Amino acid sequence: MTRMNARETPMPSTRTRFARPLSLLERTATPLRAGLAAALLLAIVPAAEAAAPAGGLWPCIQPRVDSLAAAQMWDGPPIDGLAWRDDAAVADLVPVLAARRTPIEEAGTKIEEFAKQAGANKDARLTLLFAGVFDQINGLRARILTGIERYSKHQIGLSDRIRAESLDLAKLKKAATTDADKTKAADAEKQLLWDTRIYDTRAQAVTAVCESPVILEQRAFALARAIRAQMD
Amino acid sequence: MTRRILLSASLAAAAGLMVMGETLPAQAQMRAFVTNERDHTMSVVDMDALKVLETIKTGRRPRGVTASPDGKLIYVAASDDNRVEVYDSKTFKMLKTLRSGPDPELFVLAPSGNPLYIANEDDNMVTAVNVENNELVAEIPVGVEPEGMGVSPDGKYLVNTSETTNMAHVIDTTTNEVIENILVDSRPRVAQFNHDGTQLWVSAEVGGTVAVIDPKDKWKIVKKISFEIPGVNKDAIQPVGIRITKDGSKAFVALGPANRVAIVDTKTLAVEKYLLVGQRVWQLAFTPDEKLLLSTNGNSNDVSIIDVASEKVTKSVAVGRSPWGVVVVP
Repeated sequence: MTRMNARETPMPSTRTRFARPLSLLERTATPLRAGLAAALLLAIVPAAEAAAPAGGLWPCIQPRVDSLAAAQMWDGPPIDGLAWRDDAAVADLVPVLAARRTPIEEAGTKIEEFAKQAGANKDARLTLLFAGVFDQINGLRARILTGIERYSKHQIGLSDRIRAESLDLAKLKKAATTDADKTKAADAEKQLLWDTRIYDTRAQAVTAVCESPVILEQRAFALARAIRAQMD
Repeated sequence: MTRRILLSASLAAAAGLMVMGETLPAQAQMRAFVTNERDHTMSVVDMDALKVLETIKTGRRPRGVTASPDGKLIYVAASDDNRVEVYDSKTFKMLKTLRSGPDPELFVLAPSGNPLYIANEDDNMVTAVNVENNELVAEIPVGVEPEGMGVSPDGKYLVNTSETTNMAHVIDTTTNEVIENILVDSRPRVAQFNHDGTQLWVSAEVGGTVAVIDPKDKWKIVKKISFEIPGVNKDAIQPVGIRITKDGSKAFVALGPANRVAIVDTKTLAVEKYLLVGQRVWQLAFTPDEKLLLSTNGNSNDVSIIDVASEKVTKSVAVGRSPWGVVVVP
């Protein structure tokens, strides 16, 4: 039986999604609802198996693309090996532009301001700026890809555990004669319900999780376009 | 009492004038209609100001879009509602719906403006519908997952591509029978004749090529054009939309996630230039004067405006989510 590692760090975007199952559990913790949830489990477990990809951990419909290609968003001078961190203004601006909390319109204004003050080497410095933005977003994206696979691994582990728990529960219920046995069975049922809820909520969140690399690619493209527009 | 009636009548008239005043500029301008697949809407772009004039709510998952020859009607394939919607290109109101068969994706109007030939991805059929009375003219069985639709300028031949069979099926429109099957590369998407009917271009999305076919020489493939962009992975080069200038000199090919439009010399069939547009460039449309070419960019949610003469991208216009098809009317 694969045990879930409780200390495994969930991706930031999933943390908030875990807030909901708590209250749902409280609401469904009556025996009737618990029974219903256990019945639902029969439908959920095969789905979990279906979600486990045959050839790897990638759970998304979108194909897994390891890294972005600069040429897909940039037709300016090459950026390979550019030491963008050596330009202090570029190094300061890159993390601001790359951060998703900076609205894209605001990023556009900052790029414009940078271009105005860039001096004689404007085009070269704007190219450096793109090199930095591309580097940062690509790096962040790579970390997110790893996070998605960890998420997927966790789900596969959880589905194994749910399967084992449901078999154990059936045995416990069948064998329960004393009150102590019945309490034990009820506890096991509660645990199963918990795990099912968590699994279910996480399965529903997969679509949103899979969108994050796409959102980053869109951001990189939008920034590339805004930077390129400032070049002569 | 009488005065009150008069007053309200004049108020109503004034309101009517205001409404007219609002729609009048739209009538005077060239407009582009862009279907937004994920928003279930259609953006109307004012082609003088290059701004979105209005966003029309359509049926679910609008994809293919075309205009009647006079530019008065806009046809939209609402894929998830299994119907074709007909809009007035000036008032932007839906006038009627047409039968379409299941899951309509792309369609083409006969050069005369009737019938409308629709590809039904789910049931391996091409449906021909009379746009006047919504009657079913024909149902033509084709290959698996029919997709792209092209019609010869004289209306004699209809070409449908099937995604899974990797073929372009040539249909004689007088008998509605398939007369030729042309094997092209993987997942053919769009079929486009040039204006004198001497070339048929078929894009293969997964194959990454465009087959140029000679309709006069037993529908033989003259050349398969491939595309190379330094730094861009071959897998990302996915040709979809094709448009050929009226004088037949240049073809424009949308290359999907390569985010570029290729410009091809139609005589030498050599690629002359690649223009960086937006993300996942899908379909293309000329303005009626062919001064501008528009591309729908499905992932950057915008339309790129290309100046045809200078071969430069001049602007990006933000539209709805996942813009798919585009048509421009005078």
